[in-house]
Amino acid sequence: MLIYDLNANPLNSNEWAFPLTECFHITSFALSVGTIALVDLRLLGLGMKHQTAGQLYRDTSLWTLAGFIIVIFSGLLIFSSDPIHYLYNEAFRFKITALVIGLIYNYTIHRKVALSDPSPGLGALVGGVSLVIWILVVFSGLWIAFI
Amino acid sequence: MSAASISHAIQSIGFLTYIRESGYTYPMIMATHLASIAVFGGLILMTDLRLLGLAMTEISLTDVVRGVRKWKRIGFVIMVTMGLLLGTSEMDKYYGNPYFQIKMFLILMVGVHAWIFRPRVYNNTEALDAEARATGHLPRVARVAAIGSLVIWIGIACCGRWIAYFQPPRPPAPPIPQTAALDIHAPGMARLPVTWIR
Repeated sequence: MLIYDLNANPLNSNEWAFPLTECFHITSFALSVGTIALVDLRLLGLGMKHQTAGQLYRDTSLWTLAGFIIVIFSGLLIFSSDPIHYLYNEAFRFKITALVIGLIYNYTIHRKVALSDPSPGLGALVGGVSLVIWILVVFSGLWIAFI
Repeated sequence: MSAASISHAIQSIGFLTYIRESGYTYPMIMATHLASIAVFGGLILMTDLRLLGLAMTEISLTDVVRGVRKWKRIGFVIMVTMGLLLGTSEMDKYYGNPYFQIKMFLILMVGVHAWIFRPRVYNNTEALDAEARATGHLPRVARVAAIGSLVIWIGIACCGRWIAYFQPPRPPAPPIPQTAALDIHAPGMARLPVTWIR
């Protein structure tokens, strides 16, 4: 199923399709990672101190979800343009691993701790880990092109 | 001093040459640039969505703007520093690239946007909040600032991505001279030595 005539994929044949899909990918991960960063900044005690982490989480979670939906959809489109190449790319494999870990972490531990208005120490740990995971996803996403 | 010679002089500076020819340094700088777009660009996006009244509406504009202001500034410094290193180290490739040029123009527009809207919106949030409490929504100047900011920043990100896709127009290569007797190809047939099999 992954082996097909790649020229039939419009991302490979149309001049604008691939860069445009990437632009959607970038904007939507800015939305997702940015909203997560907003909550994490509060968990780390570095910003938005007039709100609780739970309030910030509730206010941003829909936007995070919207960003995830678009980022995964555009990511699948980009993947479809050259599946075998991406599957064999170590940075891509690392990115998807980190992405899955990040998604699970975001909707389990991160969500629970943010909503429970944690103590500063626990909040800093959970928020810090979250930021590190998502920054690793972005980093490895770029490295796909360099290895 | 043509643009070409100035750009070549810039990119020939020692540490910029090192960055350009490095194995890991250039991608690391670019990845930092991208990660700061994700984290801090996201904060810019959320501020704009708040100004449009679409997100975090239960939090006052003052709290949103002030709460992340320091981090947006730190992020801006990181983004611009990494961007400068990336751009100047590959100046020869970029100075003629229209997407790079548009991106630089849009970055200038960020300054113009700040000059116009900082006194009216970003440093005026208490008054805007008071008006929102009275009328139920933020005044139009907030929406104009938000749309301007969204257009500029999304434009910057997209132009940045598109830089890599620009192909400078190249004159067509001269035909390779070939002895007619050895020319086994039919007229018009492709001269590839192999057929690519996918």
